[in-house]
Amino acid sequence: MAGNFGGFHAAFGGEMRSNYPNCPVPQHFLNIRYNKDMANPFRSEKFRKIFIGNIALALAVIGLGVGTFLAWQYNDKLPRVITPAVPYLSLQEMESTLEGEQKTLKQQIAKTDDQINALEDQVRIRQSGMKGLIDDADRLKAQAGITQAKGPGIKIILADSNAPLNITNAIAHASDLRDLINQLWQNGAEAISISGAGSMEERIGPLTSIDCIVNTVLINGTKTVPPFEIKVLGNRDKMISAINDRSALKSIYDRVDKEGLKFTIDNNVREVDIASFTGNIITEHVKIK
Amino acid sequence: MLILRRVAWLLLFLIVGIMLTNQYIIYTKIGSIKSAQDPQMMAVRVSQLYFDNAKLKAQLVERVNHETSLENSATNNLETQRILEKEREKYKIILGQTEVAGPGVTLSINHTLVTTQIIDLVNALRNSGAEAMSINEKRILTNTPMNQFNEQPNFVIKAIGDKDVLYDSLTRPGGILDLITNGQAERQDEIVLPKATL
Repeated sequence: MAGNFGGFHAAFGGEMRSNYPNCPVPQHFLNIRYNKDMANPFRSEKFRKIFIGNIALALAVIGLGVGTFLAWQYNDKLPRVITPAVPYLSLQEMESTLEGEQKTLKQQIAKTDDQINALEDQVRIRQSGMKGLIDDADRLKAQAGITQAKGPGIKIILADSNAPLNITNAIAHASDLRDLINQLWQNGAEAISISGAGSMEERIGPLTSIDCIVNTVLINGTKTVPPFEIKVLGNRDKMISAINDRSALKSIYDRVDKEGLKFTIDNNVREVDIASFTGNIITEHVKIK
Repeated sequence: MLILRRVAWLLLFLIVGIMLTNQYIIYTKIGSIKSAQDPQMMAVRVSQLYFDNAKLKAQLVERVNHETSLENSATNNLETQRILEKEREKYKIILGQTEVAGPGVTLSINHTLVTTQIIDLVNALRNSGAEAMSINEKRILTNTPMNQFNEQPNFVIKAIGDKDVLYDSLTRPGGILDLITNGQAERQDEIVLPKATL
């Protein structure tokens, strides 16, 4: 048993024993004699000399600590140019800031629209002559997708295949969403929205574009990633039939068959609640002729 | 002498500490870079976000102004009527219920296009800020399916918006015209689009 601690004892003045009978300990190790500190090596003179008495070691620890602290402070704010990673990191920060700003702007627009609706309700009562105009504007808003929509419909899931993501055909593309939406409009869809993983529901509106940048899809300017949930308001049978049309959605079905792209209808959903359009509807150049 | 030696030790480990921490922080951050193309792509995304947010800010200002005008016109029927009619006009434009005009680009393509090409072209125009569009004199709305233009022998596509932005984004190398080929874009000070037909 003592042999198990042979190295430790030797370091602090104890006698060294080999753990292995075939490997004798060298004679100069055996000359190390047992002394009074062997019972508690932490109290030995040698220990104190090495670990406590050595101020240089304490300074080294302080130095490392202060150095770490200074480096962390220095890296806390990005310097202008130190590594090739800096422009990327600045962009990353900028993207994050702009995404936050976008979310806030959309929320403020939605809140202001709610306040406008409340004001219009008051106008209906106070200025009864305006009722027809307000009703007309409300009808147009609903047609344009500026209000929520609810009714029978379907929910479609479009997601990346389980295959390695470096296979381009195994991932869900912006063009898949564009083709799908076109197919749904073609078959009489009344309203469509798309949500990506963890992102806001984006209604397809008057000025919606769906674009792909690297591995993300921008819908109404908002970054989304698969899996995509596409909610469609409309006749269920017609919508299901449209989705099952393999020739109209050839690009998607080819990749479903070959690469395992996921494209399914959620059969549990029979009614959908579609959010209002929160994207941009500013028309500064176009005027009524 | 002893003090000097200790100070030297302190400085040495201070420098080692700084270097180690710096390396750790930089490598942690670099770890998130997947390819050399990423910064460029992220720049495109940032630029797109910047562009979209500018439009959203303008929209918020417009909505707040509308709200304020509506509040201030509480006792003035004529003013309320003017504000509500302006609001109604905006939605009529969006819904294609009226003939519209404005600056923009006209795009001429003298060959057939398949549905997916037309879908991508319309998407690219919307992404570049087109506020109203027509294809072969048919107004394009949110829910216009593109299948109806399949196999037409030629196309005249009109888009109202910032004519320079529209023109540049269409004609830039790698832009949508590059992908479709043989198209010609022309800036115009005024384009007239018909109202939508069923």
